Amino acid sequence: MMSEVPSDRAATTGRPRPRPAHLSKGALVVPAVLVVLGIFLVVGTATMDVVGEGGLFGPTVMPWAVAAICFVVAVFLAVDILRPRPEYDPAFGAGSRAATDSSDGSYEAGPDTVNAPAVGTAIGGVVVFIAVLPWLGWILSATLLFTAVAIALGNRKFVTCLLAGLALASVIQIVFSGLLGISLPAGFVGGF
Amino acid sequence: MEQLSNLIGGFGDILSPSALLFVLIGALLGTAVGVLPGLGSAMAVALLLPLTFVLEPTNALIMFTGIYFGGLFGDSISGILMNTPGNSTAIASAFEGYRMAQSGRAAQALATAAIGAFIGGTVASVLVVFFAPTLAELATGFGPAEFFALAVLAFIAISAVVTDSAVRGLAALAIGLVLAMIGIDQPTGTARFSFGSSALLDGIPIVVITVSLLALGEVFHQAAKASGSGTQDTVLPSGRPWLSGSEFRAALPAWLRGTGYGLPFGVIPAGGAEVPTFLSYGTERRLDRRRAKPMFGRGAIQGVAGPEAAGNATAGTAMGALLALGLPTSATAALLLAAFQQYGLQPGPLLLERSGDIVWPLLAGFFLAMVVLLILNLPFAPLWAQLLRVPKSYLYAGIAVFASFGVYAAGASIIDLVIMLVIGVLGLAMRLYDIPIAPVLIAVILGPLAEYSLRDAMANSENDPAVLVSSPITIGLYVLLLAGLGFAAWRRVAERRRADV
Amino acid sequence: MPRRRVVATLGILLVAALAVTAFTDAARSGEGQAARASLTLIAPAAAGGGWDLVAREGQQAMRTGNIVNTVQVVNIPGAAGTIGLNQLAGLTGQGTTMMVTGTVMLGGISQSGSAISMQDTTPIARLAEDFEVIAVPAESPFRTFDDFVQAWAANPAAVPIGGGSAGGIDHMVAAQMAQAAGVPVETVQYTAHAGGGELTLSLLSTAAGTVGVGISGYNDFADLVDSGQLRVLAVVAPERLAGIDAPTMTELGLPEVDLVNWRGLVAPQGITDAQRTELEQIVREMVATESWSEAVERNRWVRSEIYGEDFEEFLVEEQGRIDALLEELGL
Repeated sequence: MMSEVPSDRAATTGRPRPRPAHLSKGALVVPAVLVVLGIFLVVGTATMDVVGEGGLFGPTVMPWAVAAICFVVAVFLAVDILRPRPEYDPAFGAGSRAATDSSDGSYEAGPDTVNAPAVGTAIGGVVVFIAVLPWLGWILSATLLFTAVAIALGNRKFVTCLLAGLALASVIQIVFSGLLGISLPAGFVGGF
Repeated sequence: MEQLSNLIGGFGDILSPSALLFVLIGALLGTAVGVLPGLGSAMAVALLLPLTFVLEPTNALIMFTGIYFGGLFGDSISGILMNTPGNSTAIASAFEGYRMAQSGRAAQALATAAIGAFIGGTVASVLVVFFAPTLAELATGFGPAEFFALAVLAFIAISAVVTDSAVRGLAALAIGLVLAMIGIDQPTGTARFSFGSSALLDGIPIVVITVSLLALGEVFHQAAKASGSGTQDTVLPSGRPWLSGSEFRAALPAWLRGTGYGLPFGVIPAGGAEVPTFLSYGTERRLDRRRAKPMFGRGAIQGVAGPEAAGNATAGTAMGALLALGLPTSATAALLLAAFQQYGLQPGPLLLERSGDIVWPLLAGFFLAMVVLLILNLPFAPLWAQLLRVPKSYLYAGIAVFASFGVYAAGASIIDLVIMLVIGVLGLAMRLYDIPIAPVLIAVILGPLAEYSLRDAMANSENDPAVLVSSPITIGLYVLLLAGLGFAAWRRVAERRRADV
Repeated sequence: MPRRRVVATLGILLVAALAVTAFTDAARSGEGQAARASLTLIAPAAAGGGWDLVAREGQQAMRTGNIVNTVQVVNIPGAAGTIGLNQLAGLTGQGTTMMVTGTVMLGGISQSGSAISMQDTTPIARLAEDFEVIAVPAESPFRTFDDFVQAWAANPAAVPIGGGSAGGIDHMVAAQMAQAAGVPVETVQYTAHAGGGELTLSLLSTAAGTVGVGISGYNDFADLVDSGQLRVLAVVAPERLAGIDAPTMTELGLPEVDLVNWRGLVAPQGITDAQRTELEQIVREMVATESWSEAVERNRWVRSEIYGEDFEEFLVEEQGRIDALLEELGL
């Protein structure tokens, strides 16, 4: 989902608020990802086994350009995230390290809090799904995935989740494999 | 008006209870496959092709048009309800459509999409009936230089409006460009960034990127926001089922503008239907900013109406290009070509002379399919919207299952699922830290088009840069681009002045 | 609350019924059955591609001929089919799967330097081939193949040639022509197109930077040739093709240009002789159906059926030729 960056102008009035998530130190993950992608491109392009001559613009020109974009944007984004924001930081400490840290502290309690256990459960559910798919087959793996995500979103009726997941996975198997012939992994069931 | 009488003759052939039944079955099946992420209209046609083999030609072809257009109507349904577009052509309408659904206007969004698809598809079909040969002419004016100009124009036009923070938009754009570059380089066959893995040789399919970023990223984000109290809250009540008069009036111009964008793109074999849907989205958003009460970002009806009409108009004229030139410009079209040949139809310039008796019923079938789909989709809109009454935990669990299914079914590959997970986590990070997602998808679609067409244009003209501005079409596109940039700059200055006063 | 209990019981029963049906389906689609009961055809290309067409026509023929109970087509697209080949190699011993293959896959194997080759499969049969043609737009200055070769030899960079993917059959034919005509292979300006439709449009387009000469299967050009918008300069076939007034490469004095685009079926390695014979028999029955004959005619294929050992020998020889050619091309 695209989210709008809240307008700075609107925030100038009223008492200072905690820094929102996208300006917190955690947001530095994004420039970090860009740097990693840039390095990925540089390494990949430098070691690329170029086929043929490729003409004036070979297969390496665009990667170099995009790598440069990645690094430049990462720097600008990091500056944008870290730069002092009087509207969020306490007025007297504007720009100082301490002020930034304290705003980080208050952000922990703010509405942007990330429910880490829930995210872990959801991601873990997908990881397990991928790992067991070839062995358990589509029906059971998808049931597990469904249950994991439902629990991550706060559902505590474990049995109902399992049953609902089993129903959905079965319907998909019947309709798409049975009626339309898309192949889904059968897992150990296929051994019979 | 020879075409008109032929078309009426065609209607005469197909307006029978059995034909209506077949178009209905086709429409339902097509919609069902279209709804699922990852199973686009090509897959729908491929899967259902054998069904048509056992029927007699007219019934088979008419069922076929039902499947084809059904897939196009269906792909926006899942985008609007679950932010999981069934196909890349439904990405643009999912942005605002999903927001409308989140604010209790799911039924209206679905109705808007259905009417948009109807208008776009119908206008395109009319054009195909009367001007198919002329449309085909248009396509011959395009070469790599023109495609490059088009890609640049689309990049600038869309990127400028989809995000408010330039640096954040660029960050997203860069991520998309990197993802799009993985895989075999088309002009030379060089493997780029696959690092020896054969699974990466063909690149990351767009559908995997779309489903991961939009659907799985959203599932993770919902988990991140979950309160943990275990409440069984639903997304929201589905609200009033029908479009109000004022909503209809708001959507109407967007439908028409979208159709206008879509029509020419069907015959141009580049960029597919994604480019016009995004261009339409960009235009609607820009127009929206000038309104007293901008709605974009909160579920703007125009944001659904425009792209949806554009997507279907493209599909309609693409069918025209296929019939008139025999050019399968997409995988779906290639499958349709196979189906036509099954019945002795060889699409191409000689089609109408050779097999008019089968083509006119087919063309009449387009209109029939469109009407049937509209009738099917309007009453179903509130029904589909009921899906949002399902408790959130079950809804998103279901989305995760459907997303995984779609990604797996498209390529039967576990690696695709791993890529889905990685990009899904990236989607979560982007949501948490307010990096817009649309530019990623724009870059994935337009990046390769821009790169390959630039390289082809240069290489095929002995590296003479003049080739890039050598035709009226290229010059026209660049003039449009400069005018747009100039206008935007002027407006920004004007706005700042106003704000200062 | 008895009513809730009733609803709950009904729900559980419903889920149980669904699950049983689904597991039955999964067990049916799984391995461990005879090929006659359930056969999987791998199309190592996306839906709508050339190999997908072969798989789906084959599926149709086996269904209508009641040769196999259920046939399913699985698309494993990517990298000239070598991704599908990798997956097939992992299905060791499964006698219920066949994969569509062809000239382009041999090119893909050679190009990717993949560790897995046709040696890791059990060749079943070659089915059909189609022939490459060299075509130009109607208004092209090249009236004959010799016109084209003269201009080409004089300045290869100024005569861009279009075809399918880089390293694919069209590209290899271009390389063979260059070798035969004395044009240095590395100077050939070859432009890869995503498909036959894009190539045809590029030929017809009057815009700058498009190609003036196209190489592709005859089927891609046929209708535009009939309508007079394209002109065939030469065909890469042992004999002239019905309906086209164009010389063969042998007639033109370039017999070394001889690559044809064939399609065949291979099974995983490690299957028993009985399984191999059974698959071969299924294919023999399939190509004898009327449905297959219609498919051959419709797609302008030419039957070229060879089986088992013959096909295996053919594959080895063809792979060697293509390896040498691609090396020459620098691919």
